Amino acid sequence: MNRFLKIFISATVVLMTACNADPIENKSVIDDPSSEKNSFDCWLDANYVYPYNIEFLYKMEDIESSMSYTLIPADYKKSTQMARIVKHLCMEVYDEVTGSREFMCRYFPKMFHIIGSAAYNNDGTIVLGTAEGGLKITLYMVNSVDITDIDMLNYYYFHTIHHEFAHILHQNKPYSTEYQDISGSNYVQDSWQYNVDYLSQGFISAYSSKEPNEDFVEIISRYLTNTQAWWDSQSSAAGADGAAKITRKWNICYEYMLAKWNIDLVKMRSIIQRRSSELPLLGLDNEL
Amino acid sequence: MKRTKILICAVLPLLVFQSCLFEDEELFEQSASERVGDLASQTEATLLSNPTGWVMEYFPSLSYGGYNFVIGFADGKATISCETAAADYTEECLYDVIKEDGAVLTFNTYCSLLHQFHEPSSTSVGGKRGDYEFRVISVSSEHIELQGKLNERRINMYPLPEGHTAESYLSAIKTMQKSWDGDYGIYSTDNQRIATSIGNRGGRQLSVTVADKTTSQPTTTNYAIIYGLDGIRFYNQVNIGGYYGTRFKVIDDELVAVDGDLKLCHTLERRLRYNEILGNWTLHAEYTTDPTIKPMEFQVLFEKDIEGRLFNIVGLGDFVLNAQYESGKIFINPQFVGTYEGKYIWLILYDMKRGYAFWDTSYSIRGLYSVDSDQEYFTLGDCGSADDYTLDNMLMYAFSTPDATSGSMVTAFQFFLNTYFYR
Repeated sequence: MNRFLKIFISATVVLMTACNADPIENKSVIDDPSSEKNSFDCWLDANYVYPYNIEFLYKMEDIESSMSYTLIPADYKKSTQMARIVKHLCMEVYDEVTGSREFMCRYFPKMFHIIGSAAYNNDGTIVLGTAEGGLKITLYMVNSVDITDIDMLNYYYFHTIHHEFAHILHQNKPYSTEYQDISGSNYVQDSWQYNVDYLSQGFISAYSSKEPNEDFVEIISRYLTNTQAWWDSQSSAAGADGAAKITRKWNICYEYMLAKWNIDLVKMRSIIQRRSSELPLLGLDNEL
Repeated sequence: MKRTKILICAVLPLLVFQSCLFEDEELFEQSASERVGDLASQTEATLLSNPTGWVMEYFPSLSYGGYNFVIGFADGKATISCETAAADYTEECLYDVIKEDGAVLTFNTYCSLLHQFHEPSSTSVGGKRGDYEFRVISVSSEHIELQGKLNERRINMYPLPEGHTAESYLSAIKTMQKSWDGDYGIYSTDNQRIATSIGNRGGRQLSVTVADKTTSQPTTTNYAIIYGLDGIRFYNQVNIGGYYGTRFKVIDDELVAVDGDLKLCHTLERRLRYNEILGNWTLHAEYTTDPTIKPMEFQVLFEKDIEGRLFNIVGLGDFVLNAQYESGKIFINPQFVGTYEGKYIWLILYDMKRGYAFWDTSYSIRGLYSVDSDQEYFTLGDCGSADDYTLDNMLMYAFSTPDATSGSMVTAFQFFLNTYFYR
C-alpha cells in the first residue's frame, strides 16, 4: 500500500477516536411530561386509551392545534360531556354495527382534540372540524354545544366525524370508479360554497359538489346523521334528475360499505337514532 | 506531489491534536432539559406556596389597557377572579406548568374571565390579542415575571397583599379605577403643563395629546395603564414632552410618578359647552401620505342641529357632515353625505395602517379639545370603537347603491388623514 495512504488512514483513525471519551449520560434529556391525573383523565384512560388506543385531548395544546387560528380551550365540563357523547354516538356505534372494537382500533384516528371556540377565517367562514392525515380529528366550538340538541350535535360534530372517517375508509379500500361518472364534469372545486343549486345537480350538499371524494363521504355522513324524512325531503327538492343521481350515489355507497367493511348503513343509522334517544340516560350533568 | 504529501502529513497531526486540545467548556452544570424542568418545578412550587393567591397584572392588546386578576392555585386547578366581573365572582379552570423551550404556565381549560381576551369571534378573528399561555421569565416568592407566548405581552404576578382577599383586593382596585377613570391634565412635577389626556375603556387607556413645540400641531398617542391599590402603572415607561414616568401613586389628589418627573391631575382646562363649539373652524387634513404634498384646509361652520347633542359641519363643498357633541368632545360616525355623478358618497372611517375601512354607523372617530398658544383644537383620533382597529382617519367613498356595502364600493373619493379643526 502506498505509504502516504497508510499515514493518512492512521491519522484519520486517530482523528476519529480522539474525542470519544465523553461519557454517555445514563439519563434521558427528555423528561416525562405527564402531570397528575384527575378523575376525568382516569375515565379517559379507561374508556378511550385502554380499549381503543385513542387519546381524547381536552387540555389545549397549541402544538396539536392549527397555528393559523386564534383558539381557546374547551370548557372542562363540556369536555367531560363531549367525551361521553362521542363515545356513545360514535365509537360504540361502530362497535355495535361491526360486532367488536377491532374495527375502530384498527382504522379510527388516534386522537380527538377538542377546542372551545370555532376556528374563524378572515372571510367570515368558520371551521367546525378537521381530520389530519387520518390520525387526528379536531372538533371546534365545544363551548357552544347544547348537549340536548341532537340536531346541533349532528350538524357540528358527528357529521364531521363520519365525513372524515369515511375519507379514511375509502383511502384504505377504494370505491367504484363508476361513482365519479355520475356527476362527471359537474364538480366545481373551490367554488362549491357558491353552488346553491346543488340538489338539482345531484349533490346532497353544496360541499359534495367540490369533487368526487367529498361527494362520496358527504353521502355517507349526511345519511347517517339525518332522518329518513330529511333524506326524502332532499330527494324531493332535487327533482327527478337530481334525485336519480343521489340515489345512484347512495346505492354505490351502501354496497361499498357493506361489501368492503361489512357495515350496513341502514342498520347503522337506526343504531345512531336509537342511541341518540338514549342521551338523556347518560347522566351528562354528573361529574366524572 | 511529494511536497504536497509532506505538507499533508505535517498538518494532519496538528489537526488531530487541535481536535483534543480544548475540552468543551460546560456553561451549565445541568442539561437544558433539566434546567427547564427545574424552572417548571420551581414555578409550580412558588405558585402553590402562596395559599391566598397571586395578583396577575394582565395586558391583552395594549389598546384595551391592563386588567387585574387574582388567581389561587391548588390541586391542579386555578381559581380566578378579575376586575371585569363582580369582585366576589370566581371561576375555576385547570392549569399546568409545562416544559417546552422554557417553562410555560398554561391555563388549558376554559375560564370566561381569563380567556375573554383571547376568544375569537367573527368580527375579531384574533380576539383581543391576549394570552392564556405564558413563558416563565423569572420566579421568586415576591414576583413572577411572565411573557405571553403568542402576543409576547409582559405579565407580572405578585403575591396578593397581606390582609386582602381576592374580593377585597378587586373591590379596592375598582374603587381606584372609578376615582381615576376620566380626563387628566398632565404636568411635570414642577407644575409645567405638558399635555391633555382622555381616558378610554374605563380609563385603562389614556389618549395623550401633546402640541408640537415648533409647529403647534397636536399629536395624540395612546398608552395602556393598569390600576393598582395606590395608583396606576403604565405598561411601559412613558415620555411625554420630555418628561418620564411608569408608576404613579396618589399623593394629595394627584397621580405622581414615583420613578420619574410627571404627574397627572384631574384639573383639565374648562370643557367647551355645546354652544361654545358652534361657529367657524378651519378643517386641516392631509389627503395623501406624501409629505411633499401640502395639506388641505376648509373653512367650515359648526352649525346647530339638536341642542346639546348634534351639530352639522358645513363647508365641505355640497356635503354636510353630522357630528355629535358629548362632554366637551366631538364624535363623527360613518354616514351618507350626498351624491356625486350618480354615485352615493359616504364618509367612512379608515384604519390606514391595516388598510380597513368601516362604514357601520356604530363606529366613530373622536375629536379631543385642546388649547395651545390661544389656538383651540379638536384633534380627531381613535376612540376604541372597533376593537383591534385604529379608526383615526376618514375617507369619503363612492358607492353604487345608497347603502354602503362591500359589493357596492366604487372608488375612494377623498381622504382626510391626520385631521384636526382649529380656530
